[in-house]
Amino acid sequence: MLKVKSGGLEHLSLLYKRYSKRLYGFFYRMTLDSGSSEDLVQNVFERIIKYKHYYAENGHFESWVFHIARNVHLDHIKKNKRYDFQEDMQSWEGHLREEQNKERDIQKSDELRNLTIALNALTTEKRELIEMTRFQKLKYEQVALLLNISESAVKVRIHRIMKELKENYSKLDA
Amino acid sequence: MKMEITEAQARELWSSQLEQPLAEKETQALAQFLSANPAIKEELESTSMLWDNLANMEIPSPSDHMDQKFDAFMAQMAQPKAEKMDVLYSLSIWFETNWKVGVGALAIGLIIGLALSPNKEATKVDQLASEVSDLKKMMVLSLIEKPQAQDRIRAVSMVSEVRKADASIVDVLIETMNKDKSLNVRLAAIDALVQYGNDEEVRSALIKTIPRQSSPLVLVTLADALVQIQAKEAATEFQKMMDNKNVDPSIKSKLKSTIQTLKEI
Repeated sequence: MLKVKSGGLEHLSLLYKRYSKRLYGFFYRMTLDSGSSEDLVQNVFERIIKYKHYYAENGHFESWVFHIARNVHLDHIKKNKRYDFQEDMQSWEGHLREEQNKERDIQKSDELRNLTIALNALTTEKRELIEMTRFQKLKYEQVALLLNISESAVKVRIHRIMKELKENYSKLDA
Repeated sequence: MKMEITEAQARELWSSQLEQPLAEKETQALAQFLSANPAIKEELESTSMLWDNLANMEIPSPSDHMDQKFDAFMAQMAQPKAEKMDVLYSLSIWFETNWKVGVGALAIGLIIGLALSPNKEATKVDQLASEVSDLKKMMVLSLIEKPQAQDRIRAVSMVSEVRKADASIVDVLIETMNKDKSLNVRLAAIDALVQYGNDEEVRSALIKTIPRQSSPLVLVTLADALVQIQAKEAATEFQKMMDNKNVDPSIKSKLKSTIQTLKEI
């Protein structure tokens, strides 16, 4: 990234190879829309170029790129308020059918399908935390910095979110 | 020494071990707490299973379009700069090797540009036309003095070709209209003077010549000319002529209609 910052834009291709699929996964799980996810990945790299001067020399690129990805996703939500998941199960059950339709093209076992639905029923913030810690495997320390909370708060939140996810999943499983 | 933990600490440790293995002391403390609290143990174990299952969730792969879009973006980022560099570099090389050709071409261009300059061309044409006009004026003044009526008619006809007829030409025409012995020359002079009908001197001369003219043909031409230039004041002169008993009867009706027309103007 430091080479990109100093003008070597060709090195951005290397960063793209390393991070594009991870970022696509991040956006896909957050939006459930492959087309939008591809566009959002592109947006991240455009912003990397745009804001490369702000990248700290001793910074952690992985944290920085997910910081950008979060902002790109938040902007996307503001522009498209099409998917705005409800926190409580009652509301979630209301658009369960819609979620099932979105997932109709993903062939997987009932168990995984229910898990996907239960996960998608969580709020954006909660799914984002699971996404960063479980799927992107970011360290709690990094996540704490990104969310501007303590590491201990990250751990507590993860426990609570997983508990809620399990409850959602149990309802579907039953 | 054994480490004792609370439920909250146990749950936090559970979260911690999802990220990375706990320290030995922490592992023991958590195990000890969970063995003492089987309900929480069951809850956390099932949640851990769910955590593990999340890894089995699949997502579709991005399409080739994503890579293509990124490649296009990179090409777009690189292209303008490269093109700019190429153009500047090529131009500098070209000037280094071909500056003589360039300077020569510039000089030729300037010369051709000056030679073909529309303003200069127009100025030249104007100058030439003016010279021709002056030459014709001289010819008019020269031919009008010729003894042959044919030459004098040519001179009068040439007046229309003179661009700016000055007082000398007008004076010559008036003189010719009044005094030329040839009827045809006088008729030609009247026709030539009509084009200066806005000139007060010409209008006055055309009116004053009425009693001087005896030829019916000249009088009829004069009547038409004065109607054409709308010389209303000529009606008085024509009326005097009508009142004269010596006037040719063949033009009385013409004079009458002319007087009528001039009065109505």
